[in-house]
Amino acid sequence: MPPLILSIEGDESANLALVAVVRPSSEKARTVIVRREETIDVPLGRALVELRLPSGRVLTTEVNVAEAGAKASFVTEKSEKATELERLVSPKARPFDDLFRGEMAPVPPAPPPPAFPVRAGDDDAPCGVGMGIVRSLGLARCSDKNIDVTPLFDRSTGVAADALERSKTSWTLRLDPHENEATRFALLATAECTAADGTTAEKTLAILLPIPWRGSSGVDVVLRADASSALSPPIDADVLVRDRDVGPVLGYLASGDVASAMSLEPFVANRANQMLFSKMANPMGAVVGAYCLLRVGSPEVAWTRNLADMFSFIPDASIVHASRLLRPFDGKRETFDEAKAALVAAAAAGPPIFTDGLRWLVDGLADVRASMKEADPKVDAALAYARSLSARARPRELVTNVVGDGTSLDWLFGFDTTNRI
Amino acid sequence: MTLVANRPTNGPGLHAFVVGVGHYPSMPEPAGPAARSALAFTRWLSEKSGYNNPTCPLATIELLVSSKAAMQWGGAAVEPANRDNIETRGAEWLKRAGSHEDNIALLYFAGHGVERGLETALLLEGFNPQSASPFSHAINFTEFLGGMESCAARKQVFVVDACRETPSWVIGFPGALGDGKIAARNLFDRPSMRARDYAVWMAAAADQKAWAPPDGQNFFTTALLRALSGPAADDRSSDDGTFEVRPEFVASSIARLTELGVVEFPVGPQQPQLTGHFSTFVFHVPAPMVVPVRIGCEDAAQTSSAAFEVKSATFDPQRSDPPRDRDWIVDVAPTDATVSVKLASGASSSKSLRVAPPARRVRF
Repeated sequence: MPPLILSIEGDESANLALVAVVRPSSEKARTVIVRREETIDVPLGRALVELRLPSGRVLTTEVNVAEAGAKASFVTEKSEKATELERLVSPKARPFDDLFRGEMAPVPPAPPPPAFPVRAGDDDAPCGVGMGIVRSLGLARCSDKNIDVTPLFDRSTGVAADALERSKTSWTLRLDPHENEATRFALLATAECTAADGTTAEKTLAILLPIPWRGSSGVDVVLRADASSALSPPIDADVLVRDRDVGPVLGYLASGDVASAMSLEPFVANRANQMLFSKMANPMGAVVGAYCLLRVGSPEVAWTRNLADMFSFIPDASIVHASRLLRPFDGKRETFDEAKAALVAAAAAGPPIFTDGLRWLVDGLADVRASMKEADPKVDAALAYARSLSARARPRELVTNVVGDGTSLDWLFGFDTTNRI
Repeated sequence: MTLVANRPTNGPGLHAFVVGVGHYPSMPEPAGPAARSALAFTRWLSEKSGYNNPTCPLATIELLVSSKAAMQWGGAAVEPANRDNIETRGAEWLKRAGSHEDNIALLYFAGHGVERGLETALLLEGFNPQSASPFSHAINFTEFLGGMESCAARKQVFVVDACRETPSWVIGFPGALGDGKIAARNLFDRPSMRARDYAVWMAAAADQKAWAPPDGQNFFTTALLRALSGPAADDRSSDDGTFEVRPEFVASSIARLTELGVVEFPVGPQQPQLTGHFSTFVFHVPAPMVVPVRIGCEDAAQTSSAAFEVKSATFDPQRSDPPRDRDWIVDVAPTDATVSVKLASGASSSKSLRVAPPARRVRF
């Protein structure tokens, strides 16, 4: 059969693992993973090629496959409008739209995002009911029982840290992956928010960050103004993991293209296993790989147990292990006890970094609690803590976004009887 | 009557529980489209041209609908979707669905919904936000999903056509948003050691409404039924080239249909979502399998006066004569086809087209 070359050209820096679906004339469709170029054999005749982007868009092109073969090309272009990371994995920003040329349906232009308040004078900008103005922004480092907050922006002075790359519509924070890995990081935004009934209250939005992310890739946070969530600081954060294998999977999952995420499972498994084998190289990456495997398959129990044992200070490591033990549950008491211990340890370590982790923490603890004949105060406290986080979480986000009352941050240190939000 | 279909099967089958809450006596907002949506979904399940799965045929449909006017199905009255009926009929559905590990348990819900953080509540007929315990008349869907592990059916599909907004009074509501009602959690009482595959098709993303025209049915249910007619099917995962609807294809196919203008969410932003935990399984095999093709001219004026034709070696030619006020959308089988246009000026043109799901668009 003649060759069909699938090619993604133009932007040398992209080199992502993307999913293409090839639909030849006389054969069933097949899925191909393409970085820059891939060649497959297809029958003579017409073939439809779809390139599925992590942002949720699908680009299509048709080719005539002759005896000599054919080439289906998609072109990426450098763009001033988007950072490399936005191009990779942001389903919300959909920056690929500007970067790929292909056969795509016209999409009505989106309304411009509201301008972010970048100067103190922007306090006067009109804002709707339920929307406040960000009072301060900071990067919190949590270790032991201490929180050290590095200010990034203070509205009262209008001073913003150099670490923030600011544009009219967004702020980007590029995070150094070389930090002490037992340290937890969160971005904190405070604001006075106004409810529909006119009452005001001080709120703190904590955005848990998947750092340190070791290796060649890092993490960027792109902040935009967002007035859609009532009673919450008006910020929306895209947390972008700059990893060419894992990044697209997260994008596919976030945009709902689970079929494409499933197609990339071998990449994720390989990468997650690589991270595990190199021990302390990138525990956060291993956690992300485990989450992807939990969503689209089933990681090895020994694999998740090692992860939980080695990185107990990352709640998500314990959560993926407990989730794996309970899905499916083998009915053994020792398995139950191991899962229970992992879930309680996770809640004691603080909020999970990923929203899926928070879901599984609540679900797992609720299962454990309902399955015990006698109450266990630790399980009850852990479940109450997890539920209080869950009720304050933003469900659409990749990483855990929790809105707390006031400015107390004790709950970042995990459950005990006093650490309710 | 609530059991509107009862077709005994020798092996596994699909057991559906369809709930439509189109009437809330204590709430001012009309919800009539929810009742019509539940009936439309029930029709799709029961009709010959609707649900089709040779390895898991339709076995039973339990139907509860609340509406201002009494609802009927097959000449018999349909019982309302209140708390008592949900609990009793739901328990019966759960028992039937759990009768075989390879059954598919399906819950369809259309009505009001609220969300607080990661917790979703589906509101039943007696829901009253002013009452002391409003969520006693609600299904805590998050808890229900967890409890469905107690159902032996290892394939489960949940369709939630409901809003996912957070009213301000819900933020401060003490305690959980109701309970799981019919499905209780217990790890040691699980009927199967097999992993459960479950998929949740939600009408909207978090913070969004699930919209509906006042006199029709919910946009999401309309889009979902459109997708199930073929666009959500694919042959890439099947062994023999059969076009199958698998859970992971549905939400992205609706997104593509929306992008190509084949289905519309015309009132407000609404992005259907897929969640759940599953490997993959066949939910439905469309028969006949059709793919919508949207055909038009770059110049809208030419579209209104053009004659279009689609032909192929495998189906009879289909034509659309002017006048029309929008692009022509035609359903055809997936194959190689030729699309042609004849303009009012007499000029004509044609294009080859590989027709493949979820949809194609041709511009002249």
